[in-house]
Amino acid sequence: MSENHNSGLENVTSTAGFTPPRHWIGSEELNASYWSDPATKEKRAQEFYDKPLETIELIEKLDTKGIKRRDFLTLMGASMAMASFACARRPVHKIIPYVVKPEEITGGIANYYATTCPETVYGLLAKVREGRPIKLEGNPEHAMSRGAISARTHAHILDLYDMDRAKEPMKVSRGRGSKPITWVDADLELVAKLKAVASGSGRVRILSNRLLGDSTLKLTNEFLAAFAAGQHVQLDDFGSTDLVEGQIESYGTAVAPHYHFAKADVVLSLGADFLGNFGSSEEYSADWVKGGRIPDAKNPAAARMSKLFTVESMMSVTGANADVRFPVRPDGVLKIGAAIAAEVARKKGVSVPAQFSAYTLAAVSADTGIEAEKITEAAHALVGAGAGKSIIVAGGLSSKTEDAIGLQVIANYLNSTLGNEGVTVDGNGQAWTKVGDRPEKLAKLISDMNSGSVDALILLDANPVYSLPPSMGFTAAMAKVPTVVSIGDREDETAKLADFVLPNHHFLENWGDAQPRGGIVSLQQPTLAPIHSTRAYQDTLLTWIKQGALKAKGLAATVANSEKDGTWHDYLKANWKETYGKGAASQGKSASFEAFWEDSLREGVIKVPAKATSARSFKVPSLAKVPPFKAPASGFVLALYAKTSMADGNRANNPWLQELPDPVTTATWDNYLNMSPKAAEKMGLRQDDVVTITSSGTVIDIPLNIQPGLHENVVAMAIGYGREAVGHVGDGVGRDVKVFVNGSTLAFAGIPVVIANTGRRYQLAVTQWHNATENRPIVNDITLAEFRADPKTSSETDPEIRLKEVPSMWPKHEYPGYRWGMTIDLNACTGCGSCIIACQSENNTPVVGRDNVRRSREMHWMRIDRYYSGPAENPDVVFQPMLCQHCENAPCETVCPVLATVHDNEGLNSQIYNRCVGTRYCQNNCPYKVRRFNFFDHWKSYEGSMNLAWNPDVTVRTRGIMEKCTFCVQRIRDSKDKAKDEGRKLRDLELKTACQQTCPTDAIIFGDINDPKTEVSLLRNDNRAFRVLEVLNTVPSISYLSKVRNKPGEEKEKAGKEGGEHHG
Amino acid sequence: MSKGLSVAVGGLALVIVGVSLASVMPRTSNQGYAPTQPIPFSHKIHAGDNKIPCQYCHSDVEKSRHAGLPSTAVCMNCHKVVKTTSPLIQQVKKAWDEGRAIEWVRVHELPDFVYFPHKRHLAAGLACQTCHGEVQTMDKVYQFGALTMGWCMECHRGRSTPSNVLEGIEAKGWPNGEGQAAPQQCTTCHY
Repeated sequence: MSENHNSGLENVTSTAGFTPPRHWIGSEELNASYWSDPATKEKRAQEFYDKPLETIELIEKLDTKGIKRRDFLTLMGASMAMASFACARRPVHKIIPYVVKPEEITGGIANYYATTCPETVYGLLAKVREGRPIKLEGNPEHAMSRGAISARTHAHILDLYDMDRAKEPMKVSRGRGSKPITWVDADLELVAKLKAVASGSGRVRILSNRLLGDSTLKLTNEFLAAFAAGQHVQLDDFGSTDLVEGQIESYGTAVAPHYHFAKADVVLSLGADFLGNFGSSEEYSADWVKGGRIPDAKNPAAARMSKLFTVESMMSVTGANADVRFPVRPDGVLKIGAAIAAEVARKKGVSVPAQFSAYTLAAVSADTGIEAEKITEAAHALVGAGAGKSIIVAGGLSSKTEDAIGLQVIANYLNSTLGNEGVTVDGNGQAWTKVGDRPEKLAKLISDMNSGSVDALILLDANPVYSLPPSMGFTAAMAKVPTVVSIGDREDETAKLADFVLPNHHFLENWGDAQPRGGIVSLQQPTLAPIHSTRAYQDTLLTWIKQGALKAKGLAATVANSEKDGTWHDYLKANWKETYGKGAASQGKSASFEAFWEDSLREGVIKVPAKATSARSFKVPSLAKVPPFKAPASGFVLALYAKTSMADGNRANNPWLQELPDPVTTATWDNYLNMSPKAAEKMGLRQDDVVTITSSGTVIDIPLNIQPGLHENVVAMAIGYGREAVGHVGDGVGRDVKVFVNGSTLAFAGIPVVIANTGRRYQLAVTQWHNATENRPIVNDITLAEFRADPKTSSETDPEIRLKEVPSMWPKHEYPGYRWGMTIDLNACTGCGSCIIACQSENNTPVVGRDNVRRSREMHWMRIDRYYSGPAENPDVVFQPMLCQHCENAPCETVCPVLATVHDNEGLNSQIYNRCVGTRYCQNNCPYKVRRFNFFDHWKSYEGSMNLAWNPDVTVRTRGIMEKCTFCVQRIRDSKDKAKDEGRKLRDLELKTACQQTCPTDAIIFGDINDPKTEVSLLRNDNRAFRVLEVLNTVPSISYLSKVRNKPGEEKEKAGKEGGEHHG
Repeated sequence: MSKGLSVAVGGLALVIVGVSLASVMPRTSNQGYAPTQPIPFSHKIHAGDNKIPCQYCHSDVEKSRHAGLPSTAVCMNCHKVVKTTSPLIQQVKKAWDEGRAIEWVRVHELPDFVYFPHKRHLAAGLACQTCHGEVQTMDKVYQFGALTMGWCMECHRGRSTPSNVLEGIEAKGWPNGEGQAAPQQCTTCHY
């Protein structure tokens, strides 16, 4: 099957005449020596690695535990088999009905409840089976989620069932262990303390993450009113604080703007990963893609696309999607921004502010290594887009240097100068009004704690001992507070040092609301009764008010002291009646509040008109925050960043998130030091070498990951790892790298570091080389100019054979009814990974642990392949979601000796678990490498309460069974069942697979390809459509649409390509 | 011993072990299984003598994959007034008063990898008795059908399909054109 290779790279023996592959996976593929190395061939031919290629030190806690458990269960299994041999009798199974069956429950039928995720504020629909939520989906009515949610939001379902959640209140002795206590006793002790504080100096502090619900905020403030000096401090995530600070500087308002990406023709991202984890990235992705990333296939010659410029130090999801990307040092983000700002001012004919005068094109270009004409190109594109047609968005950890506010001011200057303010950048109408407190307030809290002027500290879902950089000195300060209560989900790093842990409900067990920004009001309702002996934070406050006769204000006092004990639910309802009750009638729904409340609960959102946007005037003096031009530090500079999966690490105990490959590095389970290939070569470092990083006395050892697209002097590490008290999954995974952050400047980037090789090795569980094919052409990415000239342009796959019918030796299958097919638009896919976790949740796909990932045994049915093209210094990236292609002539079907994988009459390539004997021939014969084998009973990793997260509509697979994408056959059955009830055929797009359902950009379309009028049929015949490895005549049911890049100077590039040169 | 010979001897031994195992292994079907229930509930008295429709208790059967088991509340609908002095009913009453669920022993059970929808079978016009036997005559319920795949396929292939079901299908035709008696794709039941 090796005909039609584009390169014949397997046979490279010398460097003479070597042409690197157009699409490459790792930078080593760009060297001839890689291909001539015999080990390469062996490695690439290997489907699984018998053992990790090199077995190396560091933490293996989870894995060893897994093996022990496995051995135990094997023995158990054997003894059970013998026992059943003795008296061949079926096991007696009990069937237990309800005592009183709840009216709304029909066994086997899911109920959906609208609720809200307080972390991301996306509106959710929780799929609840027999009283337990099993999957989360976006609420289509919610303006932000529109049906889509991120991988992180999906994974909340596993957090709910997390075995390591705090299950009852604990009395903690400040780091010296803890013991259970009853709620009654805990309340008695705490109320006595609070009463004493209230009658004394009243210095109570509540420290929480930013709260996005009005009702909880109001209750908190009313509670604090009982204390003479009560104060609430809200932490914002460090990637957003400067954004707000910049807004205060330039516009005088403490908001985070909302960006209308759909209206922007040109976007310049200065470090902000708005497609990954900056702001509401699912919403931004949807707007950005649908607003102008899909070129019109009907009129290709006049096709238009929006353009994305990204300036960043670590390659992010946004950078990977950029048309033009500037890899720079962290300080270079500001420098390029300033140079663009100066150029924009010149081009617009306004006077160039003096602060930009030092940032000349020549100076910035020399400093950052980015050609001057590329900088002017970006500036001209921004001006050329016209007034209010672009967005400049800045922020994120990896650009958070000491001058991060200056960077924000530059972005604000650009937005105001280009007329975006009040048009694409919304700072008052729909802006995020709920932002964390300013950094000074946190600093003041710490100094107050230190000076002994805090009587009691109540932590709400906050873990500052871990989440704040240690240099801020929170831990030492906390030791000086007489009473510390942690209200949270577990006995984490902070809670261990507190006096009490009062377990809070998971949000799926609690009431709440969210008004994060103008025009969005949503409700949160419990979807199951609390699993453990937990109590809502809000109920805790109400209880204390009542028991302690605390002089709380307003509604809190009324509810707490009402005749029948008022609960948080009563409070929320009363607050809604007060706030929205009058407007209920005007909602056009129902006059009575009760009916309005019921409606709101059902819908999950209420429609509140957002205020109109207006342009705020830019305060010119804020430009003073732009620093003078500084020469860069010599040597390596460190940029910290947050992964889309792990973020700040608060949910490190979630195995789905730990095993979700990072979209860019494809690494799972660890953090690592990213370094450019060039720098690594200079230092003689290889992938997986353990290096020592030193910065002003702080030293850590961490494995190395070679990452193309990084500035030579930049090294980058992800925060959110190195947890010590999160639970048995997340403890000891990776290293906490916030130790490098200076507590006073809070710079997460631009930290000078020294790097040395330790000589040790540690194999990272990186999936990028797994399932590598023999360099067969499988992905198309073309430029807009090529698309305009001929939308069918192929960059790699054979255009001759595209979508053609080729004679086959097999008889054709017949599809009398439906025939399922899918299209995936590579232009719409941003690589965010939400589909991977949606699939995992829907299809009971297990996690396998770090060591098994190293052996290429990960079980994700849906993976996202990431390919680079161009030079390793600054490559282009294309993401290709890869799943079972449901081939018409499926190579897997012909080799199965037991007919466990067969074609059905709706075009599904079905895998029948009970027939499978695990020969793995099918996997071996699958050219797409999408089949997954259960080497072990991986399902056993879902221990205890985590069992409740299984989807009962999908078989849980045991050891020795092959599995793969089923096109969500259970969803097909379910939808067909509904249609049959109504005696009709399924409507187009009525049925959605789990991956399609959650895709924010609608990159995935699924439907009946027997019907020529369905969306999927139309897209299959799109000009950009191609199928992967068509040359093999497998005839996949999935077709892809070529990726189109809106690159400037594309004509030049095209000429280069025709001349036989590699593009770049 | 040469390698070939040892393989042959080993193979023979395996065959012997296999055959002897097969002779003592239980049948995969549990047909006839009639476990003793915690409270000896009689379907004969309820569904037979008193003619209570099956769906009065198994109320999900037309709506869902599962027929469903009545909650204790359903028992108490009648037994608050009927036969309150019977010691067996008092057992039910006790469980009800304590809010404790009654743990019945499951009679009909399919493996985890089979998805059988009651709903679609009822919609096709099958009577409960076709698969479950004359439950209204059973004092103690036993497994009437074999519940093996071959047993299912007999009907799906049209061989043992009740005539009213076949006629109904012929008259209506399936909306997705699956044709003949009933779908026979692997994915109809296995996923």
